[in-house]
Amino acid sequence: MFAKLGRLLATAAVVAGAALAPAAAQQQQPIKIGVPLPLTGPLAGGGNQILWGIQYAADEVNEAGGLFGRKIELIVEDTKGEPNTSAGVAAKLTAQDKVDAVVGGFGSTADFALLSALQRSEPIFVHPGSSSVRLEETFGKNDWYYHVYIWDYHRQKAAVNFFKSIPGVKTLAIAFEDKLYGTDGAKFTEQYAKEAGLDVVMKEPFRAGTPDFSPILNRAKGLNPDVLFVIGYSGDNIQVARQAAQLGIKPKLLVTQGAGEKRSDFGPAGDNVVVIDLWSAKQTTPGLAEWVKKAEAKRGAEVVSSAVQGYVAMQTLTDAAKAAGSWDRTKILANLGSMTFDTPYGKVAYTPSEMGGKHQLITEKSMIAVQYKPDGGQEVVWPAEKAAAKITYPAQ
Amino acid sequence: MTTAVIQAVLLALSMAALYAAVAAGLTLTVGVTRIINFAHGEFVMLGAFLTYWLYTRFGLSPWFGMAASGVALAILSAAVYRGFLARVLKQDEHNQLLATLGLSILILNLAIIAWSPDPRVMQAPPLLPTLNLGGVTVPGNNIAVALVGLILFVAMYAIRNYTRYGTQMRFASDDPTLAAHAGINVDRVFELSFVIGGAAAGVSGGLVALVLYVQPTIGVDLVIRAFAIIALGGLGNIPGALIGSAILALTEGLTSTFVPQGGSWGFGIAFVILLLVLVVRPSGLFGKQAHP
Repeated sequence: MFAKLGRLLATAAVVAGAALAPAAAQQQQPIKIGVPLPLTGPLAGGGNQILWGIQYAADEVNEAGGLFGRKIELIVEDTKGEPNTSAGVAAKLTAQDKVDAVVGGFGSTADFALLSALQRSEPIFVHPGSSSVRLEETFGKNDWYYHVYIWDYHRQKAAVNFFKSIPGVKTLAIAFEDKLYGTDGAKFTEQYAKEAGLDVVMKEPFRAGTPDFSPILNRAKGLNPDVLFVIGYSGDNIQVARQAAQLGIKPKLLVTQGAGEKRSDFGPAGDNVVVIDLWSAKQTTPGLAEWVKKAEAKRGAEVVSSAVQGYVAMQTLTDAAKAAGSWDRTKILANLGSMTFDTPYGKVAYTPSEMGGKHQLITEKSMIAVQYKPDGGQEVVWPAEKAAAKITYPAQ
Repeated sequence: MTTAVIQAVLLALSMAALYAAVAAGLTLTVGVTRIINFAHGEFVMLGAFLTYWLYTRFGLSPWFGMAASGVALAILSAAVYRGFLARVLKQDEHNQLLATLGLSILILNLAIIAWSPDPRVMQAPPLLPTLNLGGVTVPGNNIAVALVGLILFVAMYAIRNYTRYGTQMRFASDDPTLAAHAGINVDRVFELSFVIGGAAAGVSGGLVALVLYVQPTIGVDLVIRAFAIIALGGLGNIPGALIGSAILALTEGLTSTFVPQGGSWGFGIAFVILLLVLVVRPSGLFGKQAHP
């Protein structure tokens, strides 16, 4: 009797063991996160910064024991910033690697192809980069799509809100690069500026990478606007400031949109130039100084804004997963949409945006204005709650 | 108004000198070897990086940086010529085009991987004093660019017209087979012109570092302008290229200054002029007309 019962129990144990083994094994398997980014090609600079942020956030979780005991494994793929390569990477990550989620994408044109290919499998997708409104309009309404970085118009809203905050500013001159980035930026800036009662006295395009900004600077000099706002890439922003200094043209305030350039790139020509940016290590966000210290120690270098984009994308995903208690797609998506996250930007949540996006993390409310000081440093001067110094205006 | 016009013209002419400097070496190379070297822009970029590093890491004057870049790019050009261009020269001209295009893409991507696409700025003090005269300002570095650009052109012209090698270059360029029969080492002459062109690219890279920023993609737009300039002036015609540079830069600069939305139009209008000139004179303003 007991022998028969023993055999039955042994058999039951073997069967149960066999049944539980895959589940237990799965418990030990890493959580695979696909990371498609441009790591070579023209967008490689930003792509590599974002990758560092994503990796840093994943390392933090893994060093703390992982998610529910499972390590995070990043499957990094180089999109080269090319649409065709991006589509191929999307197919590999979903069909071959069978990733649990995707955190990546940088560069609107390539990301359009990436998302078009990914939407067949509808993975959890947290998007640290790209600001084209076309992406928002096309993919923003999906339950699985979460966007960290601003959309184009957020930047322009922030810029105009900043101009409005300066006493005495009534006129605005806009110089913009003549492709999609600059023309959209100029269009939105003009629209918001008019709504805010500012007079747009100049709206002049330039070719990105042009060696000579003197025509635009001389025209602006004649109009003497309260603000000269430049919407260009990093090289353009530097060149405008440099040529203005060389020609002795002193706008009351030269404002650029941050595009990855550093204070040191400008030299003395950057004195009192203001940069509208997403984030600064110097903004007065609670807990930020400690985070920056730790991150820079790990990095061994300065942590820049695009690295924070990557970090926050990964952080919101892992925070949402931790709150879910297991890798449950439905619960994680629900948490991403409902939680407030404590990030280097401050406390932020994914909320609907103007052009149809359902889950937008950073908006104009998170943006800042940084003024380059003549001592070679820089200070956040706007908004008041993040500012560490007062703006110097007029700058010259 | 008059001051504004004079200011715009002077600044446009200093840009003309920069374009001319970039086009100088290319004019010589194309004129002699008929190689359309798409990698010339990347040679300029490498010269810009070298000048930038010599200044920022070792504090060496940009004057020295330009000279060192000239030497370094001359050596690189010799290696490129001997490494594969000499062989490709004997093949179909489409292969030459693809070879230099491939080299251009290769150098550009290696530079992006190695140095990132971020712009860098050489914060050197101006090489010459700024000119301030009756409300007209021309920065010292723009004057330096104009001077060096002119010196490069004069040097290219002198080498081609007043040296023994120059005579051989012209002979080899006109009819390589006949030149070889006459005892000229055509391969050696072609190599020399390619090397001189490379050296000029290196020096003009130093000029780029002086008035622009340094970035892996910086040569792309400049080489497009350089090709336009040599087409406008007449293939291989050195004075023609100088005039072509002035036409291109003045058109761009004055359109940008005095036409609303001119920043976008300037570059396009300069190329419309190029097309019109080529329609009327297919060999360029000063090129030799082909006889039917």
